[in-house]
Formats: sequence, C-alpha cells, structure tokens
Amino acid sequence: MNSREAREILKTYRPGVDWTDAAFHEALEVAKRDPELAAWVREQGLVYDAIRTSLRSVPVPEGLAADILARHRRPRPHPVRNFLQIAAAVAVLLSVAVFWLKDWRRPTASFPDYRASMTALVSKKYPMSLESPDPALVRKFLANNQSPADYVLPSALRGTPLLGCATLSWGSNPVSLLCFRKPNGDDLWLFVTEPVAMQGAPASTAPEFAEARGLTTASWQAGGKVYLLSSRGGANELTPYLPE
Amino acid sequence: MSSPKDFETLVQDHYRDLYHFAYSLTRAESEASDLVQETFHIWAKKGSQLRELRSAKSWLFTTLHREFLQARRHQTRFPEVELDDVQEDLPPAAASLANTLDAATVLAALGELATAYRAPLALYYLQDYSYREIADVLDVPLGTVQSRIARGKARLLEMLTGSSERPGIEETSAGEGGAA
Repeated sequence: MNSREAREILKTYRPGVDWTDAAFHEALEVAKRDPELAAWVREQGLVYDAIRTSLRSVPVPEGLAADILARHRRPRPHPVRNFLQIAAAVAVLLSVAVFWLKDWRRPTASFPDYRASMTALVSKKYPMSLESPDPALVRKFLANNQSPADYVLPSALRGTPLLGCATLSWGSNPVSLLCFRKPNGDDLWLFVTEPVAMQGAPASTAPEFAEARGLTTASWQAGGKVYLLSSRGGANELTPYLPE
Repeated sequence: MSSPKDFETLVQDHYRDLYHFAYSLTRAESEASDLVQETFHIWAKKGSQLRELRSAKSWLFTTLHREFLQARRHQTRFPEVELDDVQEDLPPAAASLANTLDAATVLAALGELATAYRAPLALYYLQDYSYREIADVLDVPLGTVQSRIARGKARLLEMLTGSSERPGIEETSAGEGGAA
C-alpha cells in the first residue's frame, strides 16, 4: 500500500474508533512513514473530533427520560377493575337508552313553540310537497309519506279550493300541511299532527285563537289529531272555516 | 428486559444518544423528543423480547430511524443536497476549522444533506459503530453505507470550510454504492 492508497482509505478514519479495522490499521502504518500523510491524518482527526463534539453538545431536554419512564409506568388496567368499569359504562348506556326510548316522544317544546314554528314557516316562501286541488290525491300522498292523513276537515274547508300539501316534522313527529285558497285570494294553512308531542296542546274541539308571526291562528283537537289553522287577517277571517 | 428496572436502565443508558441522533436528523427539539419517546414506547410494546443489551441499542437506533423515515414521508420535503456528482476527495480541512465549529453550524450543514446521507453520517460521528453496525442499524448494504459516509463527509466538509457555493437541490434517490 502506498501513501496515495493509504490516504484514500483514511478519508473516513475515526481516531479511537476504527483503528482495529485491518484496512485502517495498514493505512496508518503507511502514514507513520509519510510525515505529510501523518499530518493530514492528524488534521482530519481534529476536525472529526470537533464535529463529533459539536453534535454531542446539543443539550438534551430536561425531563425527557422522566417523560419516557412516566409513560411506561402508566398503570395498566387491572383485569377485574377493567371489567367492572366496562360493566358500569354499559349499565349507564343502557339506562340512558331506556330513558330515551321511554321518553323519546316527550315534547321537546310546548304547543306555542310548535305554533310559532309552523306559522314562521308559512310566513315566508316554502316548498310544497305536492301541488294538487284533488283532496283524495293529497290525502293519499300524505299517507304514502307517513304524514298524518286521517284528518277530518271542517265542512267549510272541504268546500275551499285546495292548493296542495307539504310533509313537515316537529321534532320526531310528522306534520301535514294543507294549503287552501280563500275567495279573497289569501291562503289558509292547516297543520295536522299528533297531540302527544306537545304540552299545552288544545284538548278539545273548541278552537283557541292566538296571534303568531303576524298571522291569526285557531287550534283544536279532534279524533286524536291536533289542528292548527292560520291565515292573515283577524279571528273573524278564520271563524267561517272552523269546526261547528 | 421486561421489568421496570430493566426498562429504566435501558432508558438511562441510551436516551441521550438516541436524542442526539434524532436531533441530527430533524434539527427540531420537539420532533426529536417525540421520536425518542416513541422509540422507547415501541420497545416497551415489542422490543422487550430482545435479551441482549447490545442488540437492544441497535434495535432502538433502527426503530428511531424507521420512525423518522415514516414521519418524513408525511411531511413536505425541503431542498436537500443530493450527491451524485460530489467528489469523495476531502477538501483541505484546516486545523483552525476545528476551533470554529459549533453545533448549530454543523447541524445546519448536515441538515442540507439528503436523508440517505444524513443518517449514516450522524451515526458515523455520534456513535462508535463500525460500518457494518451502521449498515445493520440503517438496514442498507455495507458498501452503500461506506459510499454514503465518504461522499456525505466530503460534502459536509465542503460546506463547513466554505469551499463550495453549490446550492442545495432536491433530494433524489441515491444511486451509489452496492452490496459489500
């Protein structure tokens, strides 16, 4: 091995680390006989040490070891305790489920809320689910869409032109909306739903009047249904269309 | 290697070295700390079957490097120097250079190298691993490791001595080296 070959090998030599390697060992023997090569090796060694020291001088974050150990020491769930925790969680979930299933039809709001919501809907533009003047077709459409269809219309409404209907919902309860046209061109809106969904819903066939969203409303209950009729104008505008 | 005492010993023996390696790769304290923590966490789950402490150390470095590469794949790549046309000749390294180097300077230069070069070079400087051991840790052939260390070191010294104005270009796959 000549000096040139030795220098080639010693390019990656690390003092104190690689000296046991046979190839490096032989190259170092050559360097002993070549002062220039020996000086170069010493210089490279100094730079190697400086880089190594620099990289090793990077401070290690305080608490890193403690964090690692703390993570490892985190108590593992005891099998029996774990089972009890799961059982307790299941019991709580079952209780909630039973409560929810039992009371899911409990009203989340009162009848006035329902009235306000329905009148708000028709006080602005709303989509009709079916536009048809045919009462039988409208009833069939509502029935097919799981919306209340077994309603009984007051006699005056039966003779009022029907424009169509919409299927709505109040909470989880379906609501049927029937839209009629009065002779003066105003609309009449009749909402039909189940009474179980609302506290404060009218309990009799005697209409109860109220104002909501600039509309006059009359509500009553008959045949297991709650009816809400609304229109512009005063109560006298609604009275002709109410149950006798 | 499964008792808490053994695990504590393992952590105390190696977490500094692993952190320095991780920091050399990432140059970010939080990322390096996360890598070290994750490495020991994986050890706690899987690696405790290893019986020899010496194997454990290599396993830890290998796992950390693998985790780094995995995380790296999800990150935006920054320009790094690929070394296809770098000569392996070492630039003149004046002895005065040894007195001017600091960690920030070295890490900045190291960080410009492609990951494929940075990892073996970091182990080359930080640890007393032989080339064979570095190859085993990084799971690459011995010849590849030798080539990457030689070329990476030449490029690193070029940057540290300011003997090159070559700008960094995006990392490409390293095409050098071969089986030992």
